Amino acid sequence: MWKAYGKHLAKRGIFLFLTLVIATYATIVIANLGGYVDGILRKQIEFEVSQYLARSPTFRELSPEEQEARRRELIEEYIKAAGLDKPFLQRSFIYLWRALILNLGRAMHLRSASGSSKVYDIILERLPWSMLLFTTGTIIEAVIGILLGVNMAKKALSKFDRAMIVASIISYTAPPWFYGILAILLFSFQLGLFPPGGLVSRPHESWTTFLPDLLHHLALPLMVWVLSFFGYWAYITRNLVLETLHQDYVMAARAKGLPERVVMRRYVLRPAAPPIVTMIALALIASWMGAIITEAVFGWPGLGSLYNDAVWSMDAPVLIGLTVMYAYLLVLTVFILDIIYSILDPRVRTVGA
Amino acid sequence: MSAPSLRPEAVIKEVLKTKSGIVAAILLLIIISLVIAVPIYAPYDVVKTWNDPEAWLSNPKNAAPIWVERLIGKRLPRNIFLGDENFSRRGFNVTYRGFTIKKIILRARFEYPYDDFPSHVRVEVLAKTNSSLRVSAEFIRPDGAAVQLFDETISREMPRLSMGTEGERFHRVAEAFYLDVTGRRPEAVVPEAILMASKESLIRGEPEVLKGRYALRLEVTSFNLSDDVEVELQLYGRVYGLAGTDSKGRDLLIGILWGAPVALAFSLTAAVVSTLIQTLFGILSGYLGGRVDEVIQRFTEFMMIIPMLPIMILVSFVYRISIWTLLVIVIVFSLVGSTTKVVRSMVPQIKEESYILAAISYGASPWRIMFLHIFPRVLPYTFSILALSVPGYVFLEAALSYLGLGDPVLPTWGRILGDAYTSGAAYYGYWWWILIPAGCIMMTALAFALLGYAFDKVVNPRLREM
Repeated sequence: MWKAYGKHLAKRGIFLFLTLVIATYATIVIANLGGYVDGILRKQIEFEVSQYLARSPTFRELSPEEQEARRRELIEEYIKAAGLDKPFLQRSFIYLWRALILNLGRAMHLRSASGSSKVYDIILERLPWSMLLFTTGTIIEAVIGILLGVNMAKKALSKFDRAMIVASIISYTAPPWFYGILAILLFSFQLGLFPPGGLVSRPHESWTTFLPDLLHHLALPLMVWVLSFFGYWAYITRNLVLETLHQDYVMAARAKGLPERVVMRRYVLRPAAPPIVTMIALALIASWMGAIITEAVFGWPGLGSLYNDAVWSMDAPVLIGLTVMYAYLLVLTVFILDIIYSILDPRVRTVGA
Repeated sequence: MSAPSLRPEAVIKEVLKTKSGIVAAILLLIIISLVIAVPIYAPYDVVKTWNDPEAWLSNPKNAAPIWVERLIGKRLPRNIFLGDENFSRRGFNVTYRGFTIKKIILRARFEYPYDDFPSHVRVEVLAKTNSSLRVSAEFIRPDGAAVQLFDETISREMPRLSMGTEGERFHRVAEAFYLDVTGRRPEAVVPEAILMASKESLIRGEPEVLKGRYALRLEVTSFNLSDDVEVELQLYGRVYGLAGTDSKGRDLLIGILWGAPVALAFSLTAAVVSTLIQTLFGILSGYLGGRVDEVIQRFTEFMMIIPMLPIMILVSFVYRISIWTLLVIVIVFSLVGSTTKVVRSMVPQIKEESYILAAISYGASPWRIMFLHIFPRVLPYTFSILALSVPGYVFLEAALSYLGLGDPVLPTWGRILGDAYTSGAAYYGYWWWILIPAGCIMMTALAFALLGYAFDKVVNPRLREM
């Protein structure tokens, strides 16, 4: 059986790795506009070479034919140095290999605040801010949602349950950026309670002033994020718990006269937990990548707005770097969850075999 | 999971018995009435007009909806337009030292009963002359004070004289009037608020509207007896229509109405087509099994893992696509997905039911069984998935438009929101520009979310009664 299990895991691993490769390659092709960016880069090199030569006094003394030859020679050299002499198809596989070994290279236009053009520096600079907002938000919304969902299931079909179902539906129907627009209009501009966006309102010298300002800016996007997702957690938890509540073994536990708290903890919540754990793991991973539109609405300098900036400046290395990092995180999480489940739940192992 | 046989008509009937089903139906009726109102309210080429800045010049910019008056209990100014035909004209010739001079006196009156100043005032004179003529204009207030707006010579080469309250000339006139009335210089010059305020309120320093009958009087002097002028006076209001206007003066109601069919067409097509295709792949996967199943399942997992929104943003930016191209791409990315998994899990049980076994025994082909026997059987179960996927597509379009990556020509709700964002509508307090399209988006999304919930309750009754 363990052999079959190993085979299953290996199959999963290969599949997930292929997913990673295909997603990365697709991003490389789209981000380079299928090779169109090459044309732009060539023109840019030609322009730069002409500019450079125009300033050179020795160049001006040459005859027109010699000038033209020298110009061509230099352009060829530069194009070769930039690696543009090979066809895009060939280069796309070089890019793919570099991305897969996480050699992310340098950005074309974007820079980190410290001026570095390394894709790693740019991404690592933004990562903490995405995590601060969205990982915190995900934890809060999951805790609120799960507690609410369990209580809804316990009092299923009561007034409380019905009201909370409607609240949950309204909550998760709209994405956080949508609530963000409305919250900014109301809380920032009409009531003036919170700043409408950004990380801080001015540069700070010390942590004692920086932290309150940061929290003040964090409050609104965090509230909006929680508002938009707690309903999803609550509704799913409710249905999962409700389903287990009506299993025969729960009834048996109750019939044995076990106290309700013990029945809940041992017989209901434990079997309902695995799908919720999966959701938490995936949501936490997703939260590291930030949220493109929510960050755009709040001017939050996380990875989501980095992605948006990279799209608008067609910075292919940054786009590829973000995608491949996310893909690795996601694929690893899925794989680890696979392993954990097959350890916790023997049924999964036999299904794989 | 057990799957009782359900007839689509019965499911819809049951749905309309639930509260959420009724609310969803009412919301859908409102949206459909918006769709129907389009050809009635705007019986012309909306898309072309929407993108033509010339078409909206006579509308006030950033005007609130008219019903705001009821909320704040004030009469807010509407547009007042006095065209050439509204001016009474009196022409006569004067002979002076052998020269004959033509004089025309033009005069138009208007009532101004509103509690707030107009947002903008514009006077325009077009001279019809072969050489040149002189025009002077006086703005006559209800309290009798006459303010000279200009006294200028207009020549054939530049026959148009245009004077708006944003310009230097109006500012100078207003500043002089203020100085004359109060004896001090104004801190900020807002010509329409100075020239139409009562004198006492100006002296107090809190300008209030002087209500009553205003007039514009022009005097034209020319040596050429056939000369004439055309005059226009426009006072731009602060309220307009049921949905207000944006920073270009566009009637937002048109955009809102036009957005309804676009949003419905986009999101419903995406939802229906992708759910149907995903269902078919689910049936194929579950019924045929084996290698087909393996391929479809792996492909489904692949599509479920890759993040859709970043790819859509990238594709929209790179290829500047229209909403209908976007629709095709969205469908391509949703050929397989969670519905495939759900349907696949239902098929093995249905396969064992006696009517399928009967069909196999009389020699029905696998295709016939899949399309004619299994497909109608799982269809009701996909209704809720279909309805629940609609909000996602509505918000996807809105999100792309919000980032400025939406359809470049069609007015959509998302594009109106995006325009509001880029114009700083929240900062300036143009709430209608945000709340009305946002309300429409939310209404559509909620209608389908509630509908999906109602379907879910009907086809999965264990959620309802236990």
